Amino acid sequence: MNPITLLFVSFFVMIALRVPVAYALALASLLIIVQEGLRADLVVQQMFQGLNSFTLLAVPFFLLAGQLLNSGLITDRLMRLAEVMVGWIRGGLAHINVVVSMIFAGMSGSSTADTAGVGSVIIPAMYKRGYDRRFTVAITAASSTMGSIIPPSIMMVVYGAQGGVSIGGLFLAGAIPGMLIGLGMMIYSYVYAIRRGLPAEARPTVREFAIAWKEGLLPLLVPVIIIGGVLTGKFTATESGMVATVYVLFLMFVFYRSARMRELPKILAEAAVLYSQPLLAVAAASVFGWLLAYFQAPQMIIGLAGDMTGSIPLTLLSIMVVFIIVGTFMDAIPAIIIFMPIVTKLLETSGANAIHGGIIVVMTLALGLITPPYGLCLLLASAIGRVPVVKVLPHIMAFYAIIIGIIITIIFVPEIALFLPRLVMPQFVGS
Amino acid sequence: MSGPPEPTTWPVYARLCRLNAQLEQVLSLAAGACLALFTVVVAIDVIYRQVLAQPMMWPSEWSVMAFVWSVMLGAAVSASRQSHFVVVLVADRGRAGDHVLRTFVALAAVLFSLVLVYFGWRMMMTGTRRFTPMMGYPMTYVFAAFPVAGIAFLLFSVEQLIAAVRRYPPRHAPHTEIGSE
Repeated sequence: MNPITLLFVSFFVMIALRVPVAYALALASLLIIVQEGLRADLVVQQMFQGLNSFTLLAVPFFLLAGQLLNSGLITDRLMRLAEVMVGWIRGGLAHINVVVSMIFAGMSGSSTADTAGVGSVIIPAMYKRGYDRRFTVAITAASSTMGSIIPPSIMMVVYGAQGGVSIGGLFLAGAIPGMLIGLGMMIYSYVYAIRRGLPAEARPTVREFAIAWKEGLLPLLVPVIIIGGVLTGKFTATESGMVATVYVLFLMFVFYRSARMRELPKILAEAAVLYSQPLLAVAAASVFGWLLAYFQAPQMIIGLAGDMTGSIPLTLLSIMVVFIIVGTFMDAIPAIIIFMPIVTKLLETSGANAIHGGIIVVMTLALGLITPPYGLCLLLASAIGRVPVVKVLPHIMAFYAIIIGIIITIIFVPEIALFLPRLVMPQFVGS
Repeated sequence: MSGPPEPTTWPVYARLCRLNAQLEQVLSLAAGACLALFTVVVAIDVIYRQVLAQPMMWPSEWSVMAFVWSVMLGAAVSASRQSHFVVVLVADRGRAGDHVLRTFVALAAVLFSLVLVYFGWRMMMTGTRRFTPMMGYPMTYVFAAFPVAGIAFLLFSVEQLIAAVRRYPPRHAPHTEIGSE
């Protein structure tokens, strides 16, 4: 069997038998390395290379920021802020769900932190107000995908680091598409609320409005710090993640005193355990990706793609389809690392803009967070809401349609993504 | 969650469970300490460069080393808790095949651990002759994370293998914690 085929077949057999993805990536690679007579030391050496990157330090920082927002009661403040902004619209709690995820997305780079934090508060609240349980779980999971699209984003950091694409440029390019997804979900929720006769929440008084803004103002500085730091070139993405983390720690322990110092070692330990899971997969995926490049998989794909690479939209559409499939069974970060050489080659050959291509990949993989069987946000929201995933599926279809619709629109109208990066940092965008 | 093993279990296994429960605690705190370390180091780096205008060489190498250690130690803890990402295509139904499947997964985990220990050790030994590009630290300092974490992976996966073969309930129920929450 061709080594690339054997690599994929052995990997799929192992994950179908429930071997953890990280182990399966490393063991499938080991099999091919031994079979092809390469040095077996490569497995651990490439795993180290996969982790040996200063940029990857952004992953723990952006994840930790999300964890801290949740454990320090800061999510509650954001929720009240969202409430005074959109709660009075028909289907108020659904809109709050979307808007708080949007704000959260601007502070944390992680979608799962959003599902866990926002979901555990809003799902019970929506149940109490008589929202359909399946719809509640669907919108909670779906709105979390914005966490990976609206900057900052762990996926964009990894994509930028692996593909040599400007991370600041990707951040900016994600802003408008992310907000469009939020807007689409709100419009759908509004129509749904009218059809189902769902209530609006009370209109806030001027005083309530002012208090919510005052309470939420300091946490809202987090996105300003992160984006501002990266765009002005003061910090790298990693450093801005650190600054945001330290700032949230300051808010929690000093300013709001919503957590105690003695809880800190436990919070840090749990955070480390949590980010080690995607990052071990990153390490193992590096071996797998290295083998794909070694056996010239990118060239093979270009050969197979043939004339298709002549058209930018066609190339991006096929990338989208492939990543929708990949996203159903694999975590986004290892997927980016494994397929990066192929994506880069395809984008180069077709002449597509690297940032445009990156946004399509990131948005599609964010969709993967809510597609079964392996959709972390969907699994998490189902667990919090105690509704089986199968029952949520019919209700989440509308959200798939919204996200896929927006991805396809951006494939044909790249300006939606590229407008902001061209405006602010044209030197990094290219043609 | 973790609980004391049944009194009827094999004593060697019971002892291994107790050892592993403690090891898990220590490793998670160590991983958290590495996270604290690289956060502080990156902060010092930013302050010296941006505020004091004195860029330094050591922080980037220190922070990446602490990061690699925290990932590998944290990953060992995740291995013990069986919380590494798994794709579940079909739900458990308590069938006879589940026991075989559990044994197969545990065997794969043992093999993965052995790879980390053996090849990690070999890499660590080459590290005495390889140095970091800026400060010239021996690479052994960071390569050691692989065999050290590997030994912990091995202890945890042997426990899981024994539990699978003898049909004991796992110390941590798998798949209850869904990936990164």
